[in-house]
Amino acid sequence: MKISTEYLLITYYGDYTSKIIADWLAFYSKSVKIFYTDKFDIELKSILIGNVNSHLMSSQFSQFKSEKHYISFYRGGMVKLSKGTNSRSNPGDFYDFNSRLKYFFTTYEMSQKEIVDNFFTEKYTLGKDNGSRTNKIINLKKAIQIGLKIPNTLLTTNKSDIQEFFKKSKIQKVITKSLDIGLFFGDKKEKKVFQQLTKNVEFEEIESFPETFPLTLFQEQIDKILELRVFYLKGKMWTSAILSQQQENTQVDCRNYDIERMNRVVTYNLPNEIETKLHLFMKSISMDTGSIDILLSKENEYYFLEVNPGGQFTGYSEICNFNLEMEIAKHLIENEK
Amino acid sequence: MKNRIINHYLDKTDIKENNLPVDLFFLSEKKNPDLNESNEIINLSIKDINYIGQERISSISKISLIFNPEHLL
Repeated sequence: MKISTEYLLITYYGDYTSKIIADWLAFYSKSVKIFYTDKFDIELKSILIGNVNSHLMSSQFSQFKSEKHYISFYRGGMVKLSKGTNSRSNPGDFYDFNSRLKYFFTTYEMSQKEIVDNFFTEKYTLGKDNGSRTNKIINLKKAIQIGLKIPNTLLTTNKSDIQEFFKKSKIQKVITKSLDIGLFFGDKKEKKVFQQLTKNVEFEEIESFPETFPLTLFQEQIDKILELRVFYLKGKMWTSAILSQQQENTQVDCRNYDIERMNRVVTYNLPNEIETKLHLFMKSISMDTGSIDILLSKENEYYFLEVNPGGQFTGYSEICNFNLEMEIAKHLIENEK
Repeated sequence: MKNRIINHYLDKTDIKENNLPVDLFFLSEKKNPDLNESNEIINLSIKDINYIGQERISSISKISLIFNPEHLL
């Protein structure tokens, strides 16, 4: 039986970037599917090892067949099992039936998720089924080990630590941002969207904080001249510079833009030394693609901030004429052989 | 700590204010909400998400300039 190849883009509904990648794959006469993890789930049925007729079921497509090879790009979202609880539980008390049963289902579903992942990634895969998340703190530690500069960073549960952080590090300004993916939600009735951005915290403002609070991330605010977005794809890099300092509202976070007066964005040549370090960094965290945020300080020093596995790069790609979606499509096709 | 948005939505949940990390109290309204996107979800159809054998003309006529940071220093 001839095994054909199908390209699978796994993402969340409304992801414009995946549509463009699909468009490019279609341009190269490839068969492609986009799987929306937030709208559809997967049911495993009839997996018989050693038999090519086994298949996975999905509520979006009639079925994923094992006589096809899938070349997958985990762009965003997280694959869900239908009828699954999709929650995790610890083994719990040996004599407590409820907690032991919960743990039984945890491992039962983990196995199914691994089978689905293996099904989609056996031939070739880009990205991971991790819902576009990575660990900011571990990544900062890795970045330092590689020799990249990072802003002084504090993860704390109490007010006095932040005050001490200001004094000891002789820091003038700090920012706070989410430890993981920032809160982002909409209110249909109010026709409003809310987004957690990076925000600066004034020293006086800290007085109003409770003495203790759940673990929160604070970072030294670096005076910058540029914000850089580096799109990384298996060792290749494309860098855009965002001139965010020209407008007050984008000085701390360029995502706080005004649509009528957008920041100027241009292509940028990173020094070879920084590119090499970024490549080593991405290898050290086993991330094959992602969008890296960097600052260029007034002292002409590059500061690594974070990397986003599912970053929004299409806007920068269009302005800088990078055609990144075409590059991704070509990369996936090259790995079909 | 108070934040108009977070306190408003928190009232509809069982989560207590003192269980939130401080960064959530800096939540803000998005300046340019793409409300069309949420409308689009309602009109989802399978034919929109299968692309097979479609032709595409790429636009590669734009010219990008290489930016030199030294000009700013």
